[in-house]
Formats: sequence, structure tokens, C-alpha cells
Amino acid sequence: MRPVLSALALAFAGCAPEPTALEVFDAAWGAFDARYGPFDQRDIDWDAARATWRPTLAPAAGDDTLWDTLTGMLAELDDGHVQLYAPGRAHWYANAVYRERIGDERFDEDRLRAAYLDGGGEDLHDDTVLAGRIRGAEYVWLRVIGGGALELEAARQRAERRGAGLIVDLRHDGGGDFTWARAALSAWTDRDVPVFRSRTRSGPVRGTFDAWTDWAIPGEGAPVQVPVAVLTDRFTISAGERATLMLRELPGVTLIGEPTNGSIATMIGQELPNRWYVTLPVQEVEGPRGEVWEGLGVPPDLEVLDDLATPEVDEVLEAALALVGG
Amino acid sequence: VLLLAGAALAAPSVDLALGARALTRRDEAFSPRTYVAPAPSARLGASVPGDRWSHRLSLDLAMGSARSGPAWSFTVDGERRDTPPSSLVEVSLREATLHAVPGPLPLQLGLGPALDVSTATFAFGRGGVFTYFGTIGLDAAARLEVPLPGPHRLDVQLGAPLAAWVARSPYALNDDRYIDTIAAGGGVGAVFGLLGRGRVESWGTRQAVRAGAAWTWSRRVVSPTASVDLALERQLAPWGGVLVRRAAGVSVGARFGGSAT
Repeated sequence: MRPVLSALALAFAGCAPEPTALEVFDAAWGAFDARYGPFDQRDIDWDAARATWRPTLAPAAGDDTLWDTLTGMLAELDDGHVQLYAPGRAHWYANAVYRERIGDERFDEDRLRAAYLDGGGEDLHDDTVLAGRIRGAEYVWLRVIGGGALELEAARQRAERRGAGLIVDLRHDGGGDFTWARAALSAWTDRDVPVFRSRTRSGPVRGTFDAWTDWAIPGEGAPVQVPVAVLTDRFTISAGERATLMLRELPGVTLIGEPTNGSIATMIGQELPNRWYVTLPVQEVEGPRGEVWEGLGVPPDLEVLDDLATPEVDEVLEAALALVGG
Repeated sequence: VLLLAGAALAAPSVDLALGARALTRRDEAFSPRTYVAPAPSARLGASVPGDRWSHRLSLDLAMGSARSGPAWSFTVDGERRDTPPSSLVEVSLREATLHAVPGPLPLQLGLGPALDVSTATFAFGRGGVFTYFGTIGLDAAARLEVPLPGPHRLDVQLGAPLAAWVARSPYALNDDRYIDTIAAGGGVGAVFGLLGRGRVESWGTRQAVRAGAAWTWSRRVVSPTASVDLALERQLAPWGGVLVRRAAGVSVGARFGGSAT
């Protein structure tokens, strides 16, 4: 029954002719022209990109040439939210850090579990959260920002009961839904705390945005009574960066590590006429005082880089433990 | 889809039907391609006949996995993954108050409120984007009873919106207001929040038509039914993006109550 229905449905939908490589290129360039948010914040000349790359593509070029042309053009954005999917190929990032895994080895989960966390820690929320104690300090690593972010408040309460420090690890946080972090951190303040503002593309003409939306952590709790260290690296991206922007506005919080990735704006996906997918951010995001971190990354208060010459030591974590009293 | 029961029945009736539909959706906010879903469907209806006016109420549900073409695979960190299907969900609730038109044909015309909500979660690689389209408005309806021999009945119906409150995903899909509405998982309130963000539209920007035919073998208590239906809809967003929905289906079921005329 189901195959018959599928065939009927396909017949009902009709068939479209296969697009040429040039048509796909134009659709991809146009998708970014119509919806990409941070052209100005990243200082991108999108018309120049088209002028550079479109002439390299023959109308009837094959998929390999089309792939090379699109990835060449999109790499100019160096944006962690810009990704390309095509049949039989590896998922591709426009951001060099993510694409080439630059500095990936500086964060070592195995070392974290074996050498630092008491008992290796505990995986929570479908393994999106790793929590435990390190030399008496409470530790929470958020792999992504989702419902697991609510563990922040649980860790804070444990830390305060014992008078211990708290380490929030956002290194290699892959993003998610920043509103979960906002919901969790509403327990960390008794007053509304402005954290960032954003605006979204509202029309196909480049530079067209809706009004700025000011985002704040609602003050629904009480300030944290213990020192908090937040760890970031170049793989802290998207909602992980928004969480960083929230945490940095709270008193008693110190950011330690590397700047974040700098791909902060919310992204969407788009399908191209040949069924390849691209992803792209549709917003501009600023700090509460107008700071622009898109393309740069949110800077730490204390910049610490893991030393690859001492693989048994996590220098960033050591700096955090020194700060919070581990 | 309008439920095909009505004034010719002497007593109130309830209809239950199950079937299958071919749903299609093309939303230029995400893709120029058409997504197609074979979808199981269900319908619950009620009919209250009267001397001058009759009333029909119907609730329709359909949902299925959709694609714009065959699945393909890609790799992430060397691990092969297949493109996941997208999903389409369609819900409609409508009421029609009908009045017999004097003349040689057993024709009824009427009006009634209509609520349609459809969602499409378009999958792309490792992610997905949720889109929605909801309308709350006033529909025009027509019903014609075609005479058949013996206890058999055939009802043909047409419907079209006159004007409606139309709520569609924003231009960039995930804008701040949308994010705030569905914050931290959303909930029932988020549904109303999304539907509340729209504008009044009529045929200038939204064109839609529904048609159907239903056969009933009228029995005293339980009457077998079978029907076919078709729906077409096109909506133009303020930014120029088109959304096209189509549905074609068949269903079989039973009518409880009423009586043959």
C-alpha cells in the first residue's frame, strides 16, 4: 500500500528538470544574498565573491566542479554556521577552525575523565552533560545547549551547600537553543540582566533587518555565592557563545581559555535546487553595549592556551581550579 | 475537507473515516522543491440537519514523512549518514452552516468558520527547521446531493476561503520573536503565540479550494461510506515567497445515526 501511495504522491507532485551547475550556483549565492545576516559584521563583499567565483563555473559543469566552486566561495565567509551537504561527500564547514579542526587536540575529554573528574564524572541528559567534582570544585561540561543546561542550577546549589567553587565548561560546546541557558541562568540573578541584542533578516534586500531585540536573563533567582569559572575555546559555537555572553554579564563569573568561535547568530538551513543543503546565519548579534563578536569570538577574561607539550595537564582547567579554589 | 452529511438526513449523525492522502508542500522559505508525503489520515465529523439550516462539523488529521527526492548519504567525521525525511502534519477543523437553494437541484450553500494548521519540519543534513502555516477564517461551502438508485447517496461538495487570519513562518524562519515564542521548549502557549503572528488575507494573496465526493450506503444505524477529496492552496508572503500545498486522498468509514430519506 505504501509504495503505491508514494508513487501516487510523486506523480501528484510532478517532476522538475534538473538544474544546471550555474543555476545551482546562482541559487546558492542568492540564498545568502537574501538571508545571510552578518555580511557587515564580517566585512564581506558578497558581490565581489560572486564576481570571483561565478566565472569559474561552466553552465554544464559537473558536481565536482560545482562543489569546488561553492566551497571556495563560501570559505570566504569563514563562518561556523555556514555548512554544505552534498551526496557522497563529507559534511563541510566554511569555518577553518571547524573544517581543519585547528586546535581540536587542546581539549581532551579522555584526560578530563581520567585525570581530573572524581570517578570519571557522570553523564546526564542523554550524554549532553558531563558533571562531577574536581578537587572539591563542582564541574559541569555542556556539550550542547539544551535541556541539560538546567544542570547549571543543580551544580550551583551543590557548590553553595559545600562552599566550593563552580566550573562551567563550554569548550567544544556545539550550540543548540540558547533559550535553555537563559532559562537556567534566570535562577542565578534577582534582577534582569541585559546580555545581548539581535536582529534578523526581514527581507531579500541586503541590509534589511527587523528591529533589534534586547535579550536579558530574567531575574527570577538569587545571585551565585561562589566563584564561577567559565571555560571556552575556539570550538565554543553558536548557542554556546550566547551562553558565554550571558554568563560574562553575571557577577562573580570569570571567562578562562580561548576566544569562542565567533559564529553567534542563529542559523537556518536551505535546500538548493539540486537537493544539496546549505546552512547560514540570518542575524546580527551584538553585546549589550554594542560589542561585535561575530567573526572574532567572545574574548576570555583570562586567556589560557592548553600546552600540547604537557599532554597530561589541562592548563585551562588548572587555571580555573586555581581561581575557584579547587 | 468538509464532511459530507447534511440536510437530507432526518436525524443527527456522526462520521468516522480512515484513509490515506498524498500531501505535497513547497515553501520557498526553505526550498524551491516540492516535498511529498504519503500520509495516513483520519476524519471525525458530525451532522445536524434542520428544516431550514443544517450544520456540519469536521475534524481532519493527516501526517507523514516527506522528501523532495530519493534519500542520499553524506559523511560526518567519516561516519556515513542518510538524509533524514522531513515531516508534514495537517490539522483542520471546520463548521459549515448550509441552507437549501430553491430550484431543481438539491443544492445547499453556506458559510462557516475554518481553522487549518499545517507544519513542516524540513530536515537538512544534521539539522532541521520547523515551519508552520495556520489560518483561521470564514469559508464558503456548497453541497450537491446527486440522486442514486435505492439507498445509495452521493454528495459532492466544494469549499473555498473568503477571508482569514493567516500566520506563516517569518521570512528568516528563526527570528527573535519566533525564538522567544518557543523559548526553552515552548508548550501549548507557543502554538497560540505563533498563530497570533499573522495578518488578514483574502484571495489577493491566498487562493485555496477544496472539493470532495462521498458515497454512502444508507442503513438504519450504521452506514458504510467512501470518499475522495482534493485540496489546493497557494499563499504569497509579503516578501514574495510562495507556499503551495496540495492534498489528494481516499477514505472509508462509517456513519452512525441519521436515517435514509
